[in-house]
Amino acid sequence: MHYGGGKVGYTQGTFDLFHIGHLNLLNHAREHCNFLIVGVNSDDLVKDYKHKIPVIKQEERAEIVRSIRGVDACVITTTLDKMDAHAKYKFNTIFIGDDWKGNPRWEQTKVDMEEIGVELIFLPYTNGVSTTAIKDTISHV
Amino acid sequence: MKKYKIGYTTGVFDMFHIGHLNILKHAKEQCEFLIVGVTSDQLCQIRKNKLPVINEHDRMAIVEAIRYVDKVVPQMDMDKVRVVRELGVNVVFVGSDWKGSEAWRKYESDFSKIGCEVVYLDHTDGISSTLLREKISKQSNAICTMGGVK
Repeated sequence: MHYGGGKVGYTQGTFDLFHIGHLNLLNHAREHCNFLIVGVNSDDLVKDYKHKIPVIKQEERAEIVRSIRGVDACVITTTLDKMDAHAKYKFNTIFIGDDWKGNPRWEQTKVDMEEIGVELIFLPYTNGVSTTAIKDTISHV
Repeated sequence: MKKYKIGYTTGVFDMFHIGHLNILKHAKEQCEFLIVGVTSDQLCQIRKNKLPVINEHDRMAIVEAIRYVDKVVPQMDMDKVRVVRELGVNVVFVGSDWKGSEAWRKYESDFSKIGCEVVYLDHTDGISSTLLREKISKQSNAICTMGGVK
């Protein structure tokens, strides 16, 4: 991938039932970099680690993320390993919602990333919105 | 140069999905500047007798973030002729499922008097906010049933 110079950022997620929390995260991420790459978790990856199937299939989730103005590139990803992602996309900065702050896996990722010169930034999480909350709203109507 | 200068379309855009995206993408292919009217919560309540799952503020923010969209306005009523006149719209896009309906035959005739055309866009099969609601409810019921058996 050719980025045209500047700071390259990366973030990753499922982006199922695209909502305002997703959008806020992408917009905040784009403020910290010049080129934003978004990894969309594949259906199989979500099945493996969340033990549930996304409502929207991977190609459609990626197509919507790709259509967001602040997103420069979007890929479907099959791993949660951020070192793998870095080997592929060579980003300088990685973003995650600050709801993961203090989580052992993400604190370890922060250390691993710093060792290879990548900054990990926790971005403000939008309270009260999530795919799970949307599903609950619909199920309880 | 595209065929039309200013295009307009409206919708609820509840739980933004690929069908919404396709409409916006195809609309933008035919006009230089695309304005989208996002139906207000109140108008949804009046017209459909139900509130969208996502509030109007969030629905507008998401439509605004789509790269094919140049401007978003709230749709507060059904007076499309006034909007077309006020915004200088040259073309109104609507899903092809409305073609031939009484309401849209009337719109075609009203718009033509003020130099605006109607273009019907293909509807994406197999997806709608209603279908999503049904799918999510079913999944959740299935999980409840599984929980009950345990």
